[in-house]
Amino acid sequence: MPGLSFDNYQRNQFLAAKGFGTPRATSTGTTIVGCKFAGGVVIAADTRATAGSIVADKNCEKLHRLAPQIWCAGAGTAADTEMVTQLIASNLELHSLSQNRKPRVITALTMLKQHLFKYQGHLGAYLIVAGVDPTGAHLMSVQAHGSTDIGHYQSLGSGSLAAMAVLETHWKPNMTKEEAVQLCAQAIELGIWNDLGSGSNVDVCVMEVGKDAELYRNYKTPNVRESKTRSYKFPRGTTAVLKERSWQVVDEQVVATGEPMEVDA
Amino acid sequence: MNVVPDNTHHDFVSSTKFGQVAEHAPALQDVLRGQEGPVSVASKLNNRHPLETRIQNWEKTQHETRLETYRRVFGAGEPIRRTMELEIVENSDYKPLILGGSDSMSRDILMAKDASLDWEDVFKGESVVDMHSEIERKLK
Repeated sequence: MPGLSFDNYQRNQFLAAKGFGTPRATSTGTTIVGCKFAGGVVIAADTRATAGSIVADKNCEKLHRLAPQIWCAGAGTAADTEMVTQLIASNLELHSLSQNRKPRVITALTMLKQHLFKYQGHLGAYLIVAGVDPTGAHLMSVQAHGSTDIGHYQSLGSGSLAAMAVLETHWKPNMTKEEAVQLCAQAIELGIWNDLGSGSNVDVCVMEVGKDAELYRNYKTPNVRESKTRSYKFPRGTTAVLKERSWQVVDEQVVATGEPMEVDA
Repeated sequence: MNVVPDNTHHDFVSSTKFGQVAEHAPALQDVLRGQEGPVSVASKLNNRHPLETRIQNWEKTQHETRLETYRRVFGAGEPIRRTMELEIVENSDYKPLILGGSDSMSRDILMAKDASLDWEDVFKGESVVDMHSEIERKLK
């Protein structure tokens, strides 16, 4: 069967029934937000990836590029968000080459939702898709089962409640770019502090009509690692010198003297 | 007209549904040719992944839906023409799997997949049987 292989499903079920643990996917307990402003759209994400109760990656990247001016933030199963966005990015590029037009956000969204719907939520990708195209700036979200939303501001992931509280309080129509970036960064930071699945730094991506998209990796780093209270670096000379030997290297030139070598004529 | 594949729960299956039919005993599977040993029908039916049949029949269902829509909009001629074109391509463009399989470009164009890429295009999932039985099946 082409595509996904289900060959080992029955074997894995059997092993699980016998008490062997099944591998778990690394999920990004996540806060991601997006927000429109006058003439563009901004998305932001935290950078913590978790595997159960363990932080798997302290500075992972949750903002994915679908097209030069269409980016998307992913929550859910880390591998699925990564692979689905890569696949859709390839398809968008093929589509835009075939149509000879710049890709549109609605095309990306439709591709994503059709792909996710096919897999019935078994691909755990929850995405906020944002970008600018010839029709303007757009902000949309898509859930793992293929349902989609459109809005002026969106939040997804386990920290979405904390982030949405900020967005609901401070969002206003026609913000400037700086205000929108600040708002998104603040919303993510609230997710970082109040949601255990989110943490570390804030990544921001700004897409403005008529300009290149700008990715601010680690826009805010509120969780810089403290230096250790005691230093384990030993100063020079800590180890006593037991013995010392030194050689004087002389550059000696051998000058050939005497008769020249006999050569048979 | 189905947009998504039906949930295929079988009430009954024939003993030869999950393998090649043996030439000499048409009620049995060809265990030697299949090279997998005796087939367990129970394991083919029960405890399968819920997505499996859906993904398996996805493209077929989508194609049938499209043809049905064409029939309603343009009349019977349109789906007949498309099916004929597809059959012509499938019958004329053949290369054994062991030599890399046939090129899918013409088929992709007719299926409107020439500007898209999916996991099925990368992981083709074709098991290479010997060339003789492949050609035999093709010409049957």
